[in-house]
Amino acid sequence: MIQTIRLLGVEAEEARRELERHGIRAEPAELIGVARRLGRDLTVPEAFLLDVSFSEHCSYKSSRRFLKALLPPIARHVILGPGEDAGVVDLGTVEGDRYALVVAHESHNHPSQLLPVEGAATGIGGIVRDVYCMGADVIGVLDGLRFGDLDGVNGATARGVARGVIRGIWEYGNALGVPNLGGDLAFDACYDDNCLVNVVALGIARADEIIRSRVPEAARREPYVLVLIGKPTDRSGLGGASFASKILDPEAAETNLGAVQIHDPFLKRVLVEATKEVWNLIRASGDEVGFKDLGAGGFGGASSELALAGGFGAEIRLDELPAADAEPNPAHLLVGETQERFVWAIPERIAADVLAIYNEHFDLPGIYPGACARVVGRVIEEKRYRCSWNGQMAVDLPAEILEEAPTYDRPVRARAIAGEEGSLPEPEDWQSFAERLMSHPALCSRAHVYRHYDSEVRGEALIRPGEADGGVCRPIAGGFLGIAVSLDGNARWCDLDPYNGAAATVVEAVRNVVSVGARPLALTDCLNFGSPEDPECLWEFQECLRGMRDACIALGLLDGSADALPVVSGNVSFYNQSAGGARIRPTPIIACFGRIDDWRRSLRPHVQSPGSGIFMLGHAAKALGGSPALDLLSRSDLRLAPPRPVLARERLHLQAALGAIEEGLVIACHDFAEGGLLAAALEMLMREDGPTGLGLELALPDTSMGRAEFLLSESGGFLFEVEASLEEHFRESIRREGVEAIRLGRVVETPRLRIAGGGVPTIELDLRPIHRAWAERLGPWMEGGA
Amino acid sequence: MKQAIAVLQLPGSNCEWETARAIARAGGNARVVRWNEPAEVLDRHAGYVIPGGFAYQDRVRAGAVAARLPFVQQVARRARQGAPVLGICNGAQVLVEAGLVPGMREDALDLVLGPNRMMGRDGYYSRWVLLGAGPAAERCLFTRGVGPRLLPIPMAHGEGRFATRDPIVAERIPSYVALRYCMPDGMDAIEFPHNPNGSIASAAGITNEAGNVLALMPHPERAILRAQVPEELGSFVRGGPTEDGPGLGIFRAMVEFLEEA
Repeated sequence: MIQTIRLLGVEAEEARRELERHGIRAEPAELIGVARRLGRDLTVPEAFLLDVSFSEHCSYKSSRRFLKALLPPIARHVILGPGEDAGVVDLGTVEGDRYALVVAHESHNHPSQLLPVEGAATGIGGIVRDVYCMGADVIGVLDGLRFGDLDGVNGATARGVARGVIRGIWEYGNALGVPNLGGDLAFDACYDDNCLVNVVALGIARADEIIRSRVPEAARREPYVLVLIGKPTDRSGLGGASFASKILDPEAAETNLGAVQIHDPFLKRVLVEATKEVWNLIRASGDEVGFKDLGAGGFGGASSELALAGGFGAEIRLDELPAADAEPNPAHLLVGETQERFVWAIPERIAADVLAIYNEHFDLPGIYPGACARVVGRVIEEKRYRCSWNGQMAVDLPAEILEEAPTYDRPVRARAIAGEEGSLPEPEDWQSFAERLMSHPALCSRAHVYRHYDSEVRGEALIRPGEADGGVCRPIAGGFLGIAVSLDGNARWCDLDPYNGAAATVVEAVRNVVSVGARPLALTDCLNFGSPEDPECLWEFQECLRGMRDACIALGLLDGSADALPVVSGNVSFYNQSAGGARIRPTPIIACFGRIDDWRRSLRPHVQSPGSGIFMLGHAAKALGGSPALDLLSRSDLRLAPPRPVLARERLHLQAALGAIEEGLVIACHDFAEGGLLAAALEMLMREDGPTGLGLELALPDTSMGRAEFLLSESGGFLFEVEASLEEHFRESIRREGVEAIRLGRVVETPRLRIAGGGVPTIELDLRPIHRAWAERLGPWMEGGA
Repeated sequence: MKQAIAVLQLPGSNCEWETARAIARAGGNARVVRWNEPAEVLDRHAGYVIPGGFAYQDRVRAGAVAARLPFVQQVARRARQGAPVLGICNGAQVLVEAGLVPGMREDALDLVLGPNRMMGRDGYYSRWVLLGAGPAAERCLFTRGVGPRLLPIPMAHGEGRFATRDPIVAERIPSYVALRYCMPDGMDAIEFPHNPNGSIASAAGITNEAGNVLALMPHPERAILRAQVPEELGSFVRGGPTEDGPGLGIFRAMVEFLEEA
């Protein structure tokens, strides 16, 4: 029996009560508007579907106008930009075939705060589906994580969330068989009530085999059906998207728990293996198809978008949807976010073959009770989305209502930014300071976390988490094409100065892929902010976007072209704040993807050869705001300026660095930013298992800054190790871009870091205790306590 | 005509494709065979590899459900006839649950694979470890050529600790160890992390009496190129980045055994 909700001729407050009675949190005015346009009340399934479609998470209703104006222009090599489940860029030809890189980036913040294991696992489960549904095999995942202060008043909760999230990531990713290629981890009290779990997936496909998430034009020439595959719809994950678009309310914990999905990587693996067989089938037959994953909005969201995006409509028989419940509720079937499902639009002619692959060859019903592939509807030419339930009308909405979600022109209000450069005193004892610096949560070794992750599955990893500034894999068996990837975010910089903080984050992400020898191809982003209804928060969002855009345009692709570095996919996550009203610091998390023409030339940061020279290339400016050094030597609440990159010069530095690396003039390369030159120099001398056995003798150049300021500023740049006989070549190569590398010193056999100059006693650092402090911080911190 | 090697695809396997690629690089003829293909298909193959993954979701115990599949039982019969059978990671768990290694007794399982024992952490663990020949290396067809070298190979598992409660099994088990976790100087690795799971007798790979079956927890198929070996273990391998990695020898030994047969 399909119920209706009275929306015509009632007051907004009455409508709200009526909607809430059914568990719908939508803004009543939005649904009343729809009812008026239709001239009738809405059915309960319609109200559920519109609730999801109009949610901030799905509709970008507060962010759309900013994204439209402020995303950088799309470069030539972009095959598919923002708008679909994943972005696609051209990788060029390898051994005769043209390949494409498929990338997706999402958040799963609120579910992970409530149920950390399930929330994080379904985050990974969802992001890999976004790549699979483009016809690409997943070659890696990354995770950007923000947890509360483990030592703070909410430390026990934050620790539980952190441990659960990491368990969810490894339980899912390791079982599915997708390698972890890196991540980004930070701790801050602003995430005490609202952790961030951002997930990135990348995949590879032949460029001509990319599948779109839309019904193809061929559906005008022959009948097309919609085939739902995967787990039967259950009660988990009801209203996940609209819940992600609200502030977490502890009072509603029980309702919220129902909105978290349940993961099953075991079923997913079989589903993916079967799907690869279907790809082979349709590639052989040459049929045009559409394929989409079921995420936010469940079946209703995915099937309506699949049809409408192609300029078609769909007719669905909800009673055909496989259900876990004996007496399913049609609205739940429509929008429940049960995991491990996809929907195909395929010619009716091949449906029996496709069903046989899933149901017989790969025996889905034998693997998981109720799992299967089933025809549940058909494509229609009329641009309407219709669902029936036992012959009764359940949904009947024209395309324009589903596609034209309301947008909001919310106000922005600027707030003060940190512009003071400030100063930093000399530490009294450099040895103990260096130990404290390298054990700071912002800088200490992440090995405790990434050792949970399987980075080697698929057998393609070349540079793994913790080994260098970015991860590198070789996804194509023939040839030498390497893919590099890094993930970065610095909310402390963005809090002090959203524009410059976000621009510096982009520079940092690009530097990381250049450091391993790769040319940047594209970015993806996840923009984590508080409530867009707060004008200051929305201003932070706008400024971060502006900073990113300017950086993308200024840096470009480092290939001599005028193209901007494109942002090809991403996600906006608003309402990240506690029930008490405190919003998180603005946290854009940026992934940078790059290509290495010959992976045999990829670089790591550790120095290798005594006698070789150490050079610095970077902008020596005071940038102490938000730095761990400021925490340790001054006051962490001091609002000093973060890095303010001079973007045109950063481009020259990046081009010069990449040029020298590609000419084979560099033995090791490491970027510096967080923790400054000192942290970077120490990192070049330490690996997970211990100091490398070599040392550095450096002398400070003349500068107007104090020694501590020079060594600890986060303005950023590169450190290179260059073989003694190639030093002049190297300098020349760098000069070609009109910039100058500064020789800081050389590699020595004594395992110490010595820093002379500046008219003060030489700094001499013993590496063993520093390594111990760096390596042994995170494990006990995360595992300790309750 | 080369004798074909079947790489078993169980529901939840996740290393079947790179394992097949490793066999191909070793000169073998590998085919991925799905669990619900007719068991006779297996008879057309001369050797078998059960790859890593989470077969049947590790229900009951890792490997326990898969070991009872008719499909796997067929591989067990072929193993008893002397066919080479390699189980990697989850595949090793299946072989232990099927009673094929060490196979001291007909009517009981000699070993189990318990949860890793690690200092200061629990759950899954992955890292590169050093493997060296154990007392049974010469008897085992997969490890005959290892000699005194140490092989850097990655491990990745949550339940990889070969263990037993039976004192007689415990006493005899070293003579079944084909590959052991080693310290950089070649001594037995007893402690975490060089022995990453607390395995009895530092065992990383255990064979049977006849030496035709190997249950190996680390993943040789992930070490088939020299370039895959991490920097800090570079001193244990020789040659350029595209030369054969330390894991390939195990597959090559299998292929050579089949060619000689």
